[in-house]
Amino acid sequence: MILGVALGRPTPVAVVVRDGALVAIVASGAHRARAGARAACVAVDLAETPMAPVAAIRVAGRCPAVLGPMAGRPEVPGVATIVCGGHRLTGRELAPLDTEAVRRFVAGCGLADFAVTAAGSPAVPDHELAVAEIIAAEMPGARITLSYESGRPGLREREEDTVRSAALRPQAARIADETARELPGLPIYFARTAGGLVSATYFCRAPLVCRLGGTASAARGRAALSGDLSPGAGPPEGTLRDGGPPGWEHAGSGPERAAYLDAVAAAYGATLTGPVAEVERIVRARGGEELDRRLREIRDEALTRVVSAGAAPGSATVTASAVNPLSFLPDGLYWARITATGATP
Amino acid sequence: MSRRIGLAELPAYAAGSRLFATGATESSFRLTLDWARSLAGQGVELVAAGELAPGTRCAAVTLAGSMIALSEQLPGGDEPAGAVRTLERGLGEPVGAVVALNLAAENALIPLIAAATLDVPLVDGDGTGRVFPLVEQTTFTLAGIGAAPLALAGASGELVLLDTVPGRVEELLRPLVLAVGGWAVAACYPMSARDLAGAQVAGTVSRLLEAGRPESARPSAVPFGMRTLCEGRIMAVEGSPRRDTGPSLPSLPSSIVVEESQGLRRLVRLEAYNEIVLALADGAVVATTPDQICMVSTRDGAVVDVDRAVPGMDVEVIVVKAAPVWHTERGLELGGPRAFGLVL
Amino acid sequence: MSAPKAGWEAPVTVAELVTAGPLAGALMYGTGEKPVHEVRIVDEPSAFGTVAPHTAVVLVGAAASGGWAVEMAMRRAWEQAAACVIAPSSGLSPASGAVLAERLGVTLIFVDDPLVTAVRVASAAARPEAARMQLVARAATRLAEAGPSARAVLGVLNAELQGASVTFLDRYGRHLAGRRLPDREPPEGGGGRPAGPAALAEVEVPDQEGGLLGRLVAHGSLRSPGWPPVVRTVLGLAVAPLAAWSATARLAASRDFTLQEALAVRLIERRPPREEGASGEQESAAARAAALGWPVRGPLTAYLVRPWGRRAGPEEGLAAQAVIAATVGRVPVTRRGEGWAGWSALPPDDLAERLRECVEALPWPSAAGIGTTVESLEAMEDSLLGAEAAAIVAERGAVARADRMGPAELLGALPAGVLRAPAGVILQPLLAIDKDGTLLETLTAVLDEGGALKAAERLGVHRNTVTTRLERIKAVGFDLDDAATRLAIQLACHVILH
Repeated sequence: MILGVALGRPTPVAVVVRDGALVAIVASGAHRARAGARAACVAVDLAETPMAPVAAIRVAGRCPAVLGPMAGRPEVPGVATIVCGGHRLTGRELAPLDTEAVRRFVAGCGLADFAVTAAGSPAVPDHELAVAEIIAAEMPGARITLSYESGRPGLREREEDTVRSAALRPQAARIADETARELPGLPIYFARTAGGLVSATYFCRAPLVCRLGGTASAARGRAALSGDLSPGAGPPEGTLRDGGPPGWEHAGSGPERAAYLDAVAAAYGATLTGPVAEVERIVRARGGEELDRRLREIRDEALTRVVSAGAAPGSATVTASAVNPLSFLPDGLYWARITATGATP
Repeated sequence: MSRRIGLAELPAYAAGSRLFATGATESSFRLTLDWARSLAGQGVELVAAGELAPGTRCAAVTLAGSMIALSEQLPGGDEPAGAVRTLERGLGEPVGAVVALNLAAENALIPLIAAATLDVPLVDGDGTGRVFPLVEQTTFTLAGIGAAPLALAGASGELVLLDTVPGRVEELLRPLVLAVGGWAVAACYPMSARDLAGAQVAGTVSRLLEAGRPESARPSAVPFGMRTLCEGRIMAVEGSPRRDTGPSLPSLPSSIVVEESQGLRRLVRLEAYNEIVLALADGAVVATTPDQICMVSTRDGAVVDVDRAVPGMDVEVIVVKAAPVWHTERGLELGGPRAFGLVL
Repeated sequence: MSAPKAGWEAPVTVAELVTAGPLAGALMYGTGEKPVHEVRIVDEPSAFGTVAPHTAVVLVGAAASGGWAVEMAMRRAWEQAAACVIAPSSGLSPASGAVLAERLGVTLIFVDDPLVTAVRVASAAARPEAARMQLVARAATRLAEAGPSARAVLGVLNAELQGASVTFLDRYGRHLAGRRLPDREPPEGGGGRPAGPAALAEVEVPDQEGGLLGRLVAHGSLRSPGWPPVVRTVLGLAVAPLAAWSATARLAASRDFTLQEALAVRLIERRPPREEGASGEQESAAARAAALGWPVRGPLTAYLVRPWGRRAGPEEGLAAQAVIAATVGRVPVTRRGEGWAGWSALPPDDLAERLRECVEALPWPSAAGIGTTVESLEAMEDSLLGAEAAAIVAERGAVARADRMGPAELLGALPAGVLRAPAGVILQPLLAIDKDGTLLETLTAVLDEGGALKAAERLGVHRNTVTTRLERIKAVGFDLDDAATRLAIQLACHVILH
């Protein structure tokens, strides 16, 4: 038995799911249905306005102002700096990391949420890791988000994702805390925007992947329940038959009812997938053998990550992988994307 | 004719530049467009080559190297101007107008940025009428104009002036581009406006501005005609054995197999070397370079990069006819199947 | 086996090459039904202009450089009505090849080494009969190795005749061995032949009495006009081992009976004739044998004593039994083939010594054989067969042991009289020019010694002499490089010379 929980209404809606079937709806407080559940899957949309201020550190060379970090602009609160450093995709260091500049910025920025993006980090994350060490040393307890974890090539887009994720972290931490208080002792997962689940820990560290988890889960839940959730319909078949107190009578009518049905769909939809981890890297390999080895490492990383995202270790498998050679660059540079999925224990 | 490309025209120009462009990454295109937008305030003058004083020194400007490297190591901002200034130093005379080597995505925007920062006009035309992976695969070469002297500006501030005999440029350029970080802006093919008028594929910038408007249809971007080869689903994306080509090409060959979803349900194989260079339907040759073969996603109408093709994708395969000069004997030698190691 | 029939010369088809010929085991897409007349190695697409119909096109070099090149080749092969396209298996995607093979009806075959394949296919295409004979010869060898076991024989047939399903049905059409064809099996007890599609080939297997034991039936696709005769011939090869199996099986089934019969013979010897069959019906044979002092537990060794150079007269059995009993001891004595057989618990060395005495003591020229030692009566048939074989090989007055039999003994045992006439025919071209017999002597020496150098040593002549003679031998049409020819000639030489 799994609990599906949709946050975002005045009161959360929870559903009880057994063997993939929705068996009960619990309107007021998920804790009422938690007896016997082995896990809870939470669907929630994270609010991006107002955005929390973030201290963004870009490790790269100079660039036109228009291509600078997004943080610190009017629509994105916070401060940003560019410090010398970064790598080329071929692995060569662009410049030594200006550790002093990092230290100065950390000491003076006055913020505790950091987004770090280094040029070339999908290939070589060393400078991001070094910056993270400096931040941690300068400001114990700071929340640090590193861009290489998403691994997406394209410095500006990766940086934007990293800043947005960092900005969502305080909110995510609050939600995770509240949910854990509601459902003490129960493993809690959060639904990703792109499908799949992540553990509460991962959700707190990289919440951007779950930003529209509520909306996406509602769509998935609606598709699975098809006609059962039309505003005029009765409760989904079977939901009143088995387990937990029925919640249908709490549905109300009109817009309130539609919102309620969405929440039911989202709560149900969140339970329909398993943990997912995606790893994107640029690898350098001379010859097929080395490439195979590097890909194995990335697969292992993806599998490890999906297990740390909450998958039962035996259930983790690589479900998608793509490897493309990069044009106009030295032979042996590849862009690898690996997705691993698993089942909740 | 004289008009300007400013902030108002930029969206259409950018959209037009992507209609048949492959090899662009979203990130590198976005950053080039943002960069161009920040400079397009006053607008860049667009002139026909014939409108310039015949002796005006012109230069082709293009990006060279890897777009993914550009998206990771951002430009410092002065590369386009730096490349042209370096070329001027080599020539000992100023460049009075710039022209695009080709008009695909970033390569349409970089000459615009160069023209804007140097305050010179942009010539309404380009050197291919399409895109080829090699700097010397141009109508300029076909007209007997050399790519060298060629100036290169890298993102870390390096400037390189390269002078050599025709045919050697590619070989020297490639390691230089890698050495300066994987991408660079190149200013090349120094020539008079008179020579340019005879060597370019003319009017392509205007056509692109026209075709990029939201209400325009894709064929309006095509001066010499296009046809749909097939609609189908990608069955497989494979590596191909490396072929023996003259100047080594900048990427590994690959092969895409599309199964036609309607009609004869033919098996269409697209042999690619950065660009798609050969299309076979049930083993019969149905299109080859120098005509441009591209896959367009039936979902969103965007050109599908060879690098991004994945099995299961629904695509339309279209063939854009190349400028007539490419179908001459010289043109075929430079841009035909044999240039890509295909002996048909 | 009869001479090659019509159809043997029919061109081989692609499928035949892949399932039973030089392409055995290669990955094939398409039906492979087209005949192959010749082979072309194509290294660049332009070469296709001159490819003739029914050609197996072998792609190498630029013509095999990637999926596109192979697909173009398949298209051109289709246009030129070629038989098939053979491509290197490296770096190609079988998936699209499979689709295109189906769409164009052009068979595509992936092999590891196209050039080696080209040579093999060329030879098969040029001499389809030889290629098929090769298959038949291989099947014959393996059938001989399989021995008289229906399962083993059918295993060989199904392995060698790839693409065909061979089944052995009894005379009522019930499955005995081989691949089951469930939908074709008649209802239990129903008579007649199996229904279903026409068989590729069918051969009747007679039993020892000349009645019908069963039928060998092969099903499968008709790959070429040359295929059914090949299948029929191979099935024919299996008739003898199957008949032998039947005999062996019957012997095994009636072992108890045989034992009782043998016991009865001994009992008759010691008891009044009127008691025949009337006593001890319920008594176990083993117990009765034990009562007679016969060994019934291992290790046991079979023996066989036979008259040498003549047939045993019907009245000689008793005498033989008496001598055997006197020399070997209390052992069973039964009539077997040309002689008398039984088994003893004596160690083989002792048994050999006793038999030597026995052979000496017998009033007519004799020889004896000893089988391998076996652990129990169940395995005695093996030992008896060995003893019989050894006895056949044994010289007059000698005792041969199956466990010490070698090639020399086997060659010596060839029925030289029977083989002399065919040997003469085979060697006729040689004998015609061999005035003084030196050529035959040289040929035998070369084949026996496995080379000209050693042959020269054996003959005491210069090596060049041997080489010159060999040239003359080859000139009259003996191809010593062909294994089958070599074996036949060597046998013929032995028969003629000894």
